[in-house]
Amino acid sequence: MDKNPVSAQFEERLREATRMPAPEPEFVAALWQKLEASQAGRRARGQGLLRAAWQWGVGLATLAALVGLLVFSMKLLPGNVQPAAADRTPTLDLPLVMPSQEPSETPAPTITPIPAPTSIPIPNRLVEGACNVPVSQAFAGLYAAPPGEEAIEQLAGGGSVESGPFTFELWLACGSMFHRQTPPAGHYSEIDGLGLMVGWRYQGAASDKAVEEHQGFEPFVEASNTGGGVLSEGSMSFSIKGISFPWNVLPDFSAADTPLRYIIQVRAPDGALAGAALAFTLQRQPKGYQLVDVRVEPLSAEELQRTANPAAAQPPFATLDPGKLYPELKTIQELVERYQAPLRASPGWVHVKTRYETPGRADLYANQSVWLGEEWLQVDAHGEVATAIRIDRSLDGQTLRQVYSKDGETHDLTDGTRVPYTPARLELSNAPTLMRICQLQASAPLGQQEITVAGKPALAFFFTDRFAAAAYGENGVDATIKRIIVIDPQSGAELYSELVQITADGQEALVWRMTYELIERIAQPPEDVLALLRGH
Amino acid sequence: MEDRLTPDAEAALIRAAQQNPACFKELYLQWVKPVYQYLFFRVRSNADAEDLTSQVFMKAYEQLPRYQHRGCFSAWLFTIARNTARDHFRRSWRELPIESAGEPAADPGLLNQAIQAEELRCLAELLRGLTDEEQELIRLRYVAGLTYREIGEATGRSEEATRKNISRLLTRLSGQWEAKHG
Repeated sequence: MDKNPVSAQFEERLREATRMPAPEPEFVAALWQKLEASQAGRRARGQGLLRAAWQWGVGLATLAALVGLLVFSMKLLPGNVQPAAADRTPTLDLPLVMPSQEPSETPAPTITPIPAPTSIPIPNRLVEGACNVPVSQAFAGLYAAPPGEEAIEQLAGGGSVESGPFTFELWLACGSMFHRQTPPAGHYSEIDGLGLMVGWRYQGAASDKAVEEHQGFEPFVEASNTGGGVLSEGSMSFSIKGISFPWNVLPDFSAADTPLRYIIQVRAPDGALAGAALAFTLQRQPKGYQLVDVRVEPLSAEELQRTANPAAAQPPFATLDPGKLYPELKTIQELVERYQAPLRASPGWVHVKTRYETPGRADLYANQSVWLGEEWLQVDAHGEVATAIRIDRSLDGQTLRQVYSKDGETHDLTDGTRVPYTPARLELSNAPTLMRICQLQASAPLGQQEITVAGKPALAFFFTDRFAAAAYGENGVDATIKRIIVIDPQSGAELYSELVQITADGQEALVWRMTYELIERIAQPPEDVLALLRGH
Repeated sequence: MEDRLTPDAEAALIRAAQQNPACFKELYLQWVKPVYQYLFFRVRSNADAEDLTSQVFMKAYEQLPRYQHRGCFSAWLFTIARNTARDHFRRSWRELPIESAGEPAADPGLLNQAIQAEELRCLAELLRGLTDEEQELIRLRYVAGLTYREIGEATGRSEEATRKNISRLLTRLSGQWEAKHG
């Protein structure tokens, strides 16, 4: 029984005031017939839905694997039942820079922030009224937000086009889940409130071979999916993403009206190529961006044959220089580049030992809040890591995980999983991550301070950020996170990185710390380590 | 609205409908009237309300296989209805304000009817002063006949918070109304 201190007479009047006519019985009957009639069409699309669900599953699994891989690349990988490799490794007479601090349980120095707030006035949202197409117009109205996720609210244009055995749909999507905040919430997007809903339906012959798919804004079109499984007529796949580019491309859409073109290119199981593009222009207006010249078009035969090289691509629009946004970033960038340039300069092997700490937690490995990672990275002539072997060990030498990346694939020997691997530039610093985060949170302060580490001078850079409760908060309270990078001012080597959570009462608690214990050029890894590449 | 299905019966019906679309009819008949009335209240046009009601059930019918029942089918259905109504207004740029509520359908020739009509007009005036969010609570509670829990699920609040919000809202409205007619 409701307990409202409201008179019965008032509530009765309210009910009368809000009493609406019932629908006509004829309408109710006719609508049911319409629903039943739609069932046939729905059955025909059933396989498509299954395919879409399967694609989502593959996407999530891939994401999980990539997250795992990222964690690896950022931190771990040591230990096997072998002696420490550094003791057995022949060393080249190349610059080898070794952090000079003592890696131990010594607590990191306390750093007092010296805020240096910088505000970057970049209009970063759509103008009012830019989104006026019901989302029901896309993908036959079948879109529904996954449980627990926000829904796309409206569309801002787009459409469908046929190419080969595929019908492509590319739409500009609007919703609050698209923003420039860091994950895990929503989709990263350079324009707040704007994203993409893109995908395809297949009308070709059934096949159990994989569909190869490339997607991205020109010229950054990259492999996005190599999903297998049964492909049949009516199969469909779609995905939602923000307006995003490679991490080191920071677009400055405020510099000029910017035409963009998003590409989907698919290779059917029989080898046939198909594809479509969503072209639009971000038009600058005083209160944000308007979307104009929105059109969807099939890719030409020439475009379908074109093979992109995203790594070498130059953006066709103005970009921001992080060093100008934050002078401190320029300092960091110069330091870490000075250190890493010799390591990337010529082909060869780099040996890295890292210590990881997650006090009070054992998230990655059971009962291990501290572990040691050891990596052997083969750098090619482009400064990219072509082959990598990584081993994680516990402090007592027990092997926790062994992974190698080679020939376009990362193989986790511990759990047997395999995920695609794309060679990336050798990066032995968390500075790019810090730069990216600073760029995302352009109005937050970045501080710099001279400190002492193991009796030697060091430079600490720190950035404070607030996260919603869902990301780092506990008990539903938002959290403040401080990221710290400490660099040797002489060599430019990163000594350690930290992530610290600041509680509501001002207490600081270390979330994780990553300390480089050794970085050296070597002739080649020990034989027993190389044997991992051969599956031994 | 008509007698509600028990939660267990509703859950069983949803499972059945996800397997066999013909079973959706029970759910449809259970909810078509409140959905229509909710939409009619917003658009005040029989044709528009029928069109929007059709859209709501077509979407629900299509998406039912993916729906995950967590005890509040009506909240899911009314989320679709609310979004459909929003789409409609974005397209047509017209929404009859809640002030139209309470226009007496009966002949106000008799004195008591005239009094009643005046009371309803006064109430409509009070409702007009509500925020859109408050008006939506009134629509979902009194037009669609949803429970506090269902309204909470549909609007992203807890059941208790919804109950308190509506209680405070009614107390305020009642006080204003009785000051004039008490």
